[in-house]
Amino acid sequence: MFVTKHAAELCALLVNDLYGELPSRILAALFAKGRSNIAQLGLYTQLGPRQIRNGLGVLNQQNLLYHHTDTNTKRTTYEANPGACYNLVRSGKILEMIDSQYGTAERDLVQTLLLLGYARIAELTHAYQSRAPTSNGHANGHGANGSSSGLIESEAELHNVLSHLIRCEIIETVRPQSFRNPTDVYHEIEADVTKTAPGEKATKTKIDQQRQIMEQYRSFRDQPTALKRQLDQFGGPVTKRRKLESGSGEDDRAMDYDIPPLNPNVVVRVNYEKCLVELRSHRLASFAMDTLGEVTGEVYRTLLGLLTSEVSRCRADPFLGEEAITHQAAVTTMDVYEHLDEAVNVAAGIGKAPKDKIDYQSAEKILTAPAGNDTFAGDSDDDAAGGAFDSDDDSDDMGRHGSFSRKSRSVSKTNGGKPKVTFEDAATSTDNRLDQMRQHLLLLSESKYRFVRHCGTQGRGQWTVDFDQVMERLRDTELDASIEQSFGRHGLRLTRILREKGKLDEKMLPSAALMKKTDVQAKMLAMQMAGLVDVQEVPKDNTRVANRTLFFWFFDRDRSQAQILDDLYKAMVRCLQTLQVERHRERNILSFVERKDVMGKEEEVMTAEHYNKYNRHLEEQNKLLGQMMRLDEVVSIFRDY
Amino acid sequence: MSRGGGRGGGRGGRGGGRGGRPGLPWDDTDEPDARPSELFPPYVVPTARDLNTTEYNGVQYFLLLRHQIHSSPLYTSKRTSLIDPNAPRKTYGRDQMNALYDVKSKASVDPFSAMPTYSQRFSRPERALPEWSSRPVCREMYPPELLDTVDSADASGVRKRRKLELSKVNALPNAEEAFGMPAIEGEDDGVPVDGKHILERLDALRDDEGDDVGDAEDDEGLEEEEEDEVYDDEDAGDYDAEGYFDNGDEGGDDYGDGDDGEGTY
Repeated sequence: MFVTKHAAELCALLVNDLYGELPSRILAALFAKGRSNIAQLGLYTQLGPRQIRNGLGVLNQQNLLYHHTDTNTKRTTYEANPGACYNLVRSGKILEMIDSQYGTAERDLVQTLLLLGYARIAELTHAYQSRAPTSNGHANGHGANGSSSGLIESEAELHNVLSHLIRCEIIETVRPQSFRNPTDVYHEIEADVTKTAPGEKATKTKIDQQRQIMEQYRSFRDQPTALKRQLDQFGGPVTKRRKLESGSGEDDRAMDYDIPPLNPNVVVRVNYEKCLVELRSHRLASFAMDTLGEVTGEVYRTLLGLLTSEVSRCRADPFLGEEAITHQAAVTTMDVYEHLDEAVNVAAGIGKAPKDKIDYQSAEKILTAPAGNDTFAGDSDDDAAGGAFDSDDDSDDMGRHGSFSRKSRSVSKTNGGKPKVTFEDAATSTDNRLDQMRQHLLLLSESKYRFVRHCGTQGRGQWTVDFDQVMERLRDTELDASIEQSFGRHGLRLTRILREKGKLDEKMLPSAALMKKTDVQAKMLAMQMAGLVDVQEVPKDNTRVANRTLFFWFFDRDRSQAQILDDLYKAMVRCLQTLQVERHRERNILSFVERKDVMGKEEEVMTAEHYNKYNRHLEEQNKLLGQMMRLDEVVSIFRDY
Repeated sequence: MSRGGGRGGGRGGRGGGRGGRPGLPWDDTDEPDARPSELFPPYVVPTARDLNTTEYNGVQYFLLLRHQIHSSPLYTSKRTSLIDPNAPRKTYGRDQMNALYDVKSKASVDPFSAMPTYSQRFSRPERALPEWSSRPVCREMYPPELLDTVDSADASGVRKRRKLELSKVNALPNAEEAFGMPAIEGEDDGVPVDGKHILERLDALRDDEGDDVGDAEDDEGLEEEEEDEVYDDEDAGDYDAEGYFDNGDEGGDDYGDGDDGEGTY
C-alpha cells in the first residue's frame, strides 16, 4: 500500500491515542524510514534499545508490524503494516456491525480479540472461565443488567461463538508467517521457483512457472482460513450465518453444539478483510436505501448477506489478480425470501402501474454476463440482449448457470405474467409477499446504479451483484458529491464533460459547458490547483509560443481519487488533532474523572459548571470521532471496497 | 488555426498585441481587485448533521475499546513531551522531531505539581514501558530478539505461567457516573455512598492490603499503597518523580545504561 505523508501521520496519531506514545514514535520512524532493524530504529528515534524492544513488542502484539528474520544472517527487520494501522479507525464500526448482525456474545469476543491483538484459544478459554464467577458476583449488584447482557458466560458458549465466527471468517488463525509482508513472500516464492540450480537448464516454461508461483502464493494466502475449512468439513451444511432475531440466533448456536473441539494451541485474531466485506454490504444497502427507499434497501441487504457469505475479501489480491473472483455466486428469489426479516413490510415502497403499461419482457430481462461499463449498454434493448443470449450458449457463464437454454427465456416471460394470476385466485399471503419482494428485486436491477443483475430463472429468478460495477457507480457518486461541494455546480459540470469526452481543447470547453469563457477559465484553474484536472500543451511547431499551442484539459480519475484520499486522510488527522487539543484543554477534568476515588468523595466539591464542561467535552468527542468515521466511510469507498 | 487570430476578441489576439507575451490561461481581462477585503467576511459555517444511532454506537464502541486498551497492561501512558498542543508547531527533520520528546525529566518538573499530594494517590499511575509480566504471549509470533523482552524468565530462569485476563472495563465513564452517585466497581453492594463512607472504605482498604483482592481497582490501590511504603521507608529525601511510579523490576537504574538492555533483567 502506498502511504502518503498524511496517511502515515494518521496512523501514528491513532496508535498514539490508543497504545501510547512509545509505540507511536517507533511506528512513525518505521513509516518515515521504511524497513529497519533495532539498531537503525535507535538511531532514528534516539530511544534506548530496551524501550524500542518494548515498543516493538506492543506493535507486534497488536498486528501492526511486519517482521522477518533472515535465516542466514539471523537479523530481524521490521516494517510498518499501514493497512492494519489504518484499520484501527474502523474498530468501532466493526464492533457495531458485529453486534447488530451477529449478536452481543460475538461482539464481546471480537472486542476482546481487538483488545488483545491475538490470543491462543486455550488462554481465551481460560480467561472466560475465570470471568464467569465474577460476572455472577456482579449480577447481584447490577441486577437484571448482568444476566441479560448476552455476554459469553461459559466455556461451551465461547467455543460455539468462536467456531461460528471462524466459519464466518470473521476470525482467522495466525501463524508466524502471518507477520511477513505479502509482497516479500510473493517475491521469495518467485525467486524460489525461477531459480535454476547450477548446471541445470531452465526447462520449465514461463506459464508453468507462473502457475506454480500462483499456487504457492495462494496456499500462503489461504493459510489463515485452514481452520475454517476444517470446521466446515466437520460441521456438515454451512451454518445459517445471520442472526435474524434474538430467538433464532439462539437456535443457530444450539444447532452448533456438536462442533468438534477446537485445537487449543491455535492462535486467532480478527480478520479485517472479511469485516470490510460486511461493511461494504452495509454501505451498499444504505446506498440503495437512499436511492430507492427503505424497504428495497432491506431486501438488498438480505440479498447481499447471502451473496457475500462466501466472499472473503472485497478486492482481489493484486498478485492473484482476476483469478480469485472468477466464479460468481447467485441467489434465487426463494433464498432471499426465506432470509428476509419477517418484520419488513414488502408491500411498501413499490409503485403501482397498470398491468398493460408494464413491459414485462424488458423488466424480466436476463443478463447472463455483466453489462459493459458504459452507460449506453443499459438502453440497448432486448434485441441485443436476446441476441447475446442466443449466441452465447456455450460460454462459461452459461455453463455455470447450468440448464437454462432458450426455453428458459419463455419461462421468464410467463414468469412475469403468472404471479398476477396467482395473486388473484390463490391470494395466499406468502405468495403475495414473495411477489412483492420480487418487485423490489426487479426495481434494484432496473436502477441506473445496477444494484443487482437478473441472471437466471431458477427458483423464481436468480440474482447476482457485479460488485465492481456497483462500486464504480458509488465511487462516481462520491466523487461528484465531493467536486460539487468544493467547486459548485459548474465545476461538476466541467469535470463531467471532461470525463465523458476525454481530453478536450480549451476552446471547445466553453461551448460544451454553455458557460462564459472567463468563468470556465477561472473554474478550471481553481480545479487545476486542487489537482482535479490538468492541462496538456501540444505545440504546433518548434517555436512553442502560446498562440501556436493547443491546450488540452483532461480529468484523470485515478489521480483525483488519490488526491481526494489524501485530503481525507488530512481531514482525519485534523479531527484527531483537534480532539487532542480539546483533551489538553479539559485535562484537569479528564484526569479528575479518571481518578479512582472520584465519585462520592468529591461529589460536593464538583459543581454543575464542571459537570457541564465534562458533558460538553464528551459531546464534542463524539462529534469529532463520528466525523472521522464518516470520513473513513468515504476512504473505504475509494480505497477498499 | 491560429490562436485568437480569427476570433479577434479572443485572448490570443491580445497576447499577440503585447509583443509575444504568452497568453497565459490566468491572464484574463479583469483587473485584480485591490480593495482591502473585509476583515471578517460573512461565512456560512458548515455543520455536520447529528450522528445517527449506528454511528453513535460505533463511536461508543470505539471509545470503550480505547478505554479498555488504556487500562490494559500493554498501554504506555507516560508522555514524555512537554508540548502544549494549543501552540502551533512545525518540525523539520528527525532531530527536531526527536527533540520534542524526552523533555519531561527532573529538570523540567513543574514545582507546583511535583510535590506529592494526598489526592495524587488516586490518579492513574504512569507507566513508561508496557508490562509484559501480566499476560501470556505467543512465543512463536515474535522474532527471537524480542523474546527476552516480552517473555522474560525471572531470576531462577523459570518462566511463570501467566494467565490471560479479560478487561475489567465494560462501560464508559459518563458524566452521570463521574459526578453523580451511582456505583463504582467494588461499591455496588447497594450501600448508599456518602463522603464519610468512602473515607471509611479507604481506611479499610489500607488495612487489608495483604489480601488478594481480585478487583482491578483494589489492585491498583494496593500497588500505590506499596509504593507509598517504599517512599516512606527509604525516605531518600528527594522526591524522585521519574522512578516514583515505576515498579521495582523496571527501576530507574535502566535509564543510565539504556544501551544494553539484555543484562538488566
